[in-house]
Amino acid sequence: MNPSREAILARIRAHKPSPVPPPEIPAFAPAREDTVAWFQATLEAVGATWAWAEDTPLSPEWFEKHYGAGLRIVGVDPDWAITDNPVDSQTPLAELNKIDVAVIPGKLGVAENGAVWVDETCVPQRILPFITQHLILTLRANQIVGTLHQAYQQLAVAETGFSIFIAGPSKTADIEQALVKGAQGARTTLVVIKS
Amino acid sequence: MNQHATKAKAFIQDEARTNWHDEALWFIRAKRDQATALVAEWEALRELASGIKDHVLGNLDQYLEQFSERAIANGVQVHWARDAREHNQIVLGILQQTNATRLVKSKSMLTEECGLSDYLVENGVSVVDTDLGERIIQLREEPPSHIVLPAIHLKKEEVGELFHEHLGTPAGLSDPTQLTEAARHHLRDHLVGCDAALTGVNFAIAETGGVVVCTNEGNADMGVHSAPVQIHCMGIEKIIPRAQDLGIFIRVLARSATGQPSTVYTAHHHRPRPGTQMHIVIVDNGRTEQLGRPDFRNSLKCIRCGACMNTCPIYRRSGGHSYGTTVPGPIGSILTPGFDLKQHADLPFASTLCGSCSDVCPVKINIHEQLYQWRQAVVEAGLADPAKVQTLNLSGAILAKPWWYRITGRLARLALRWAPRWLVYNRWNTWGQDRELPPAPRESFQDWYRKKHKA
Amino acid sequence: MRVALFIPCYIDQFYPQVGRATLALLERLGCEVVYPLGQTCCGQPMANAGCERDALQTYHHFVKTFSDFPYIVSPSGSCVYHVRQHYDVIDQTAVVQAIRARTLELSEFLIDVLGIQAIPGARYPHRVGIHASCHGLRGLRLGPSSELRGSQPPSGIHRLLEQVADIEIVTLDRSDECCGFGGTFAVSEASVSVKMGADRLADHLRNGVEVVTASDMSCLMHLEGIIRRRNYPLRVAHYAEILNTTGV
Repeated sequence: MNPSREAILARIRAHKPSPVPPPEIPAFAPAREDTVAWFQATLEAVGATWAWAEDTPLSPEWFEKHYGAGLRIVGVDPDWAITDNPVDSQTPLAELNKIDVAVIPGKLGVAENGAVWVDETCVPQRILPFITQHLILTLRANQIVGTLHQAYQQLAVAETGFSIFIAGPSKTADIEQALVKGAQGARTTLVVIKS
Repeated sequence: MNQHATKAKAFIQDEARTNWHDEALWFIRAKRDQATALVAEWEALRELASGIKDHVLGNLDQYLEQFSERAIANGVQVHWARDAREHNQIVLGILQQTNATRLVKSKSMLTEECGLSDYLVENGVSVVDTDLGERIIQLREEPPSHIVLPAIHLKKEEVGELFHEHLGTPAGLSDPTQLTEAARHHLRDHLVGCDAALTGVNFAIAETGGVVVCTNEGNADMGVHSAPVQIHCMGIEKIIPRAQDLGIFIRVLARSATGQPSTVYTAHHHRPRPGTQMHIVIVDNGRTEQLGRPDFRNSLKCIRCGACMNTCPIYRRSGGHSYGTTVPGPIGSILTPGFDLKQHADLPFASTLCGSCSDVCPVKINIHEQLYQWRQAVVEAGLADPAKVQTLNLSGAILAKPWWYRITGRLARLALRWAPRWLVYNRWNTWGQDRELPPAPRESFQDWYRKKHKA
Repeated sequence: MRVALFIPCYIDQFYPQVGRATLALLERLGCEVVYPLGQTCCGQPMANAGCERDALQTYHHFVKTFSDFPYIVSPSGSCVYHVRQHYDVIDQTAVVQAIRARTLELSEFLIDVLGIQAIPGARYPHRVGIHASCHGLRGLRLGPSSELRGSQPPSGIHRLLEQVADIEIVTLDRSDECCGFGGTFAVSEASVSVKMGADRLADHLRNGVEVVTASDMSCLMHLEGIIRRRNYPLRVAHYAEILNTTGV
């Protein structure tokens, strides 16, 4: 037995208030019914960009046009065969740190905060969405829900060892409240929506 | 000695800077107002968040046991720390066992509270704070002045000078974008080369044994997923019962904090990566004591959004450092007296009890009412200024006796009317230093009324 | 309607005209107003400073003085809030409970009990800034608090003032920030207190206010102290004084 654990629990038992039942969480109606348009508007508001998959070939030419030439691009979305730079669970950090763009499939989108759900099964290594300079998340339109309540109802958060909502690019306002994108994680986040 | 008043007075000496500080925080409060106005069910969410936390406090032991069991089943190593010292020893122990000498930290007010960094450095561990604001104040060797915006008290020119000295940026560079870029390179080197990564915890889910960490910069994830050892330190009050409850808490947290619909990253950690270790340290450090104080226990519902600081008219004009605590502002002034009432006896009085903090709080903590109750506790404990207590003691006696009251009032007004200005505005007249005293009419309302009704 | 008038100590001593205006206003609206002689204070000055124990005698005195009236009306949101909120520490006899339930701030009484929408005849040809005193606002919920969400009607004070002839009510940049009085705070934290007051006044000045009004004379006493020291082109008036004007 861990004495600290026992001591803390004993003090809680001695000090805690009488229990009250948990409140019931009602089903809040989403603020908007046009979920996809809402999601797109929120992405723009949180500093991300979005595009329809039809308009986004993810071809070498497209990458060069949007991100520049000679970049290291990693694609793990099976819908797009980007195989130049395969990354697997053994790829060393130093190599991952050289990635310019990563294309990662998301599993769920949330309109109210522009978040995309990515879990461990979406990536060869957990760090990929953060260490890449630029992030592209892909999502099917029918995977987008209105609110976080709806999202957490659908998700099993403990299904994988790590899972995350990503809502836009890495950012900070720690210097005089000036908003700067690209703090420690991805500098840009593009969400490609498959209709 | 009223430390807050003294430090606040010093802060206000620079009026332009005080105005700048006030405006910066008011701007965040305004963003919070806009973001919350878009959520029709905002007040219902606050009520639910508060209700869930009330439910947790009454069942905290069971939920902690459940959380710990599930986490262990997930392959997480769970530690329990009664106080700051034990917490620090546990973290150092984990680092020593894994031969880790380079630790990266993301924001954790708990580790600030425990003084972890100093302890680790004394024991040969290099500690790098990786949140930009935290890194800035770490390089300046000062504490954070705000729990969400640690460097809100600094101007970009000051950050520029600091980075010039420590990161080698060009002298005179003060552009936030360029300074952030310099920090990005500096911090990436530390993040990808670390031996261990430590984060705080926003929510700990009892039913799944996982922890949720909310950040904007991505520094927590950069560290945790680079390091062979990940450590999450949490106070016992971080528990929520179910993953479903995140729907409520994530919706209110960032909207209250910065006016964002959520933070950029909301990470759910349940199991370590293959071949690595994941540790969770559960810390009491005075929290069970606070749980035993009926008037003050619901301060433990706090989710550390910082909204009460942004809205507090005193905080905005006195700066976070004036409070001399890890958690400054209104919430700090009800949490910290529970740790050391004598040391922080001035804090419950660093408020006008305007109540804005309570109305802005996403978990509906009655902050201003607790400040009122802490004042009673300070006086009961004999920690208030004796001269003040005597004066109020006398006032109480006078105000309970109509005749005394009338005589005293009449004499006071008489004195104010006839005494020369230099005598009234003496150096002990704190009111009169920058304000005129009210007019002293010949006749009180009661005198007038008596006369009228006699006639 | 028989009502007891409670005139808080600092109004009694320093601003008797506010007491007279309140009395006249209530009588003008047909109330039978009794001012119980021997009243002193609600006890807030001691209690807010942490000396609740020293306030208890004053609480009992208040209860004794006002035990016989269907309503106790006062032109101070702060003192009314204190009676309603903090008299929970004395024995909750039927009398104490009744007093706590029936002590009303003036605008509550005018609107909720008398059902009044406007004061006939009142005229005030000035640009008026309404300072939303905190205890009335967030304690008694006399008006919309800027932190809360959902529909909140304008305060009763605002609605009554709006009906006064020729008045112009000015919109402020910050609708309900504290003035910095805060009882003993005004002295124990004088620097912050004065800075807060000066900042509030700057808002009123920026927006062209002539007269600052409020539901609490204590806020106005503090603001007036700064106005007079700095010679600002502003003056203060309790809203009862404005409502009690004539001239239409």
